Amino acid sequence: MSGLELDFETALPGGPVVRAQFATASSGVCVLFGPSGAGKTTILRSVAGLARPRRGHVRFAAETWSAHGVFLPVQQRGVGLVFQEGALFPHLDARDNAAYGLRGEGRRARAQAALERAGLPQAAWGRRPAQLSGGERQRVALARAIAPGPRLLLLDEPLSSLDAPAREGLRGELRRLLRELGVPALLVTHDRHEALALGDAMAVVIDGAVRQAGPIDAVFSRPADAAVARAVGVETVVPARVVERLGDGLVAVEAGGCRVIGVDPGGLDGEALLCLRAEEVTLERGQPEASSARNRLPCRVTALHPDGALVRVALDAGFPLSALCSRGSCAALELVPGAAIDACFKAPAVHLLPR
Amino acid sequence: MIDLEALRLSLRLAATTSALLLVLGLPLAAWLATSRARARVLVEALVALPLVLPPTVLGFYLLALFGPRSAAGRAWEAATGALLPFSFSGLLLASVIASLPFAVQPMAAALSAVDRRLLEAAWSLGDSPLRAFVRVALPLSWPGVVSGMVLSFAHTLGEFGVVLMVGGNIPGRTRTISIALYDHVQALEYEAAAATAGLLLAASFTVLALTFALQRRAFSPLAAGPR
Repeated sequence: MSGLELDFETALPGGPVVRAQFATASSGVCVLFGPSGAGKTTILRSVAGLARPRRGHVRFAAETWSAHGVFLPVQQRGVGLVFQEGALFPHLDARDNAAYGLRGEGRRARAQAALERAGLPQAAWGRRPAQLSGGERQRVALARAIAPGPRLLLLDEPLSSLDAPAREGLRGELRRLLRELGVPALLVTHDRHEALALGDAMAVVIDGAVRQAGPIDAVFSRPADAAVARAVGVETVVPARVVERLGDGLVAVEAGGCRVIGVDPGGLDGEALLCLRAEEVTLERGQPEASSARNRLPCRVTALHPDGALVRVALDAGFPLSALCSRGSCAALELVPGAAIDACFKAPAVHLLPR
Repeated sequence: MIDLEALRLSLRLAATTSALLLVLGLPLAAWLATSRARARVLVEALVALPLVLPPTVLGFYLLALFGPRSAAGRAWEAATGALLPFSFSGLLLASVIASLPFAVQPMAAALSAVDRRLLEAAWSLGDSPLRAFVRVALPLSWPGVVSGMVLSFAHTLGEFGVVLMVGGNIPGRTRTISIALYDHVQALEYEAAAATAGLLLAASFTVLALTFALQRRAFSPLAAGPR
């Protein structure tokens, strides 16, 4: 079974042309990532059936949703839509919002089950949107979208209207919920942490075109071109496995045969994604003196990518790793492809995300 | 004193006009609020025309269009056995047209203030456009719909020029309260004129106060109140 197959060109009235060509798996979360105004929401609206592509096709699970002469209206696509600021019906309370897409017997019970699932406290079920906090509103929006049992969830910046603490709290729950539901999802975000925390796959949208699509660690670690690298940030993202809890809030993980120590963010069990920004990695050669860096990995240089005053050094430590150095230190260390070097970084620089 | 027959006729005319404008004006307002068609500007201008046109001009065209010498007038006469001019039906038609902007404009303004994403959310949850209109757009814009009806009621109550042109002055059939007031003055019955004018003034003021109260309610968040 396949997920979404997109190959279309669309434009808002008076807006620039947006092209999308990629496919998603039949399960998991695909993140549409890119800077604001790149065309992510336009792509999402075309998938939802709220915008009609000018040419090309949209298919889902081998069913054609839109093609030349074919356009399945949004009512018949069975998608659950979550808007940026919830777009809740202001005249209905939380329960009636969640029940909106339900018909017939047991509608109230099913709405309540959805609200429970989205984590809205029972005390808030009878409140109207204006009486709910931002986080509660997004929970109701989620409940409303999942209650009718959609085949595909479409989320447009679901967390970006929230303040930082609420956003981080809801992010973890959203990930758990999306995992539990087992419904494939397309999620728009311009936030890298959100992309990393929620996505299984990712499509990078820049200037109205999908520039790269693939598994999230592959896109982050091996950007297809300079524009993608700039959009995602120079970052190492690799799958890792928790091997040992060291106490003092530290945890040891294994990635590509290396043991890496990081700060335990909580909620880790088994699989994780290891993220490390290239600026945090220093390169050293020779005997270490006393250092606060808990990680020291012997590497081999695989490539050098000059970028302005800096050079992005691609390394192989058993897993691909990036370091950002000045041109001067590159020369002093005599870095050339094939050279041996140690990559050092502190435990707090290692971000571990639960998978 | 006050010509009660004329008052009853005016109230009947105003109520029927408002009811007809709810049926005709609401779909028109909904179209104006959502359409991106180019013809929209023309339709908007056409709807607003009675605001600026002298009522006598409107009355003249209606007479010309539905008079016994016109094709439309003869067709109406063949169908109903009566002529439109100088009848209650003719008066009603003229009032509906003259009051159109008073009904449609507040309705369209309220409907276009409804966030489009709310309608899109309703569609994605399976609602047809009509169902979403009834379940979402109408509950959120009812103060505008009610003000449209109230304003057209008040406007019809006070209409003079069109009524005189199309309806004439037939007691019990086309003689409305504003015409009765004119007659009182012509006959130097100042006491009756004062009573009638006072009544119309009080009614108009009440209606406007009611409308503004409704509009205030529309702009204060409807959702904020307790259930």
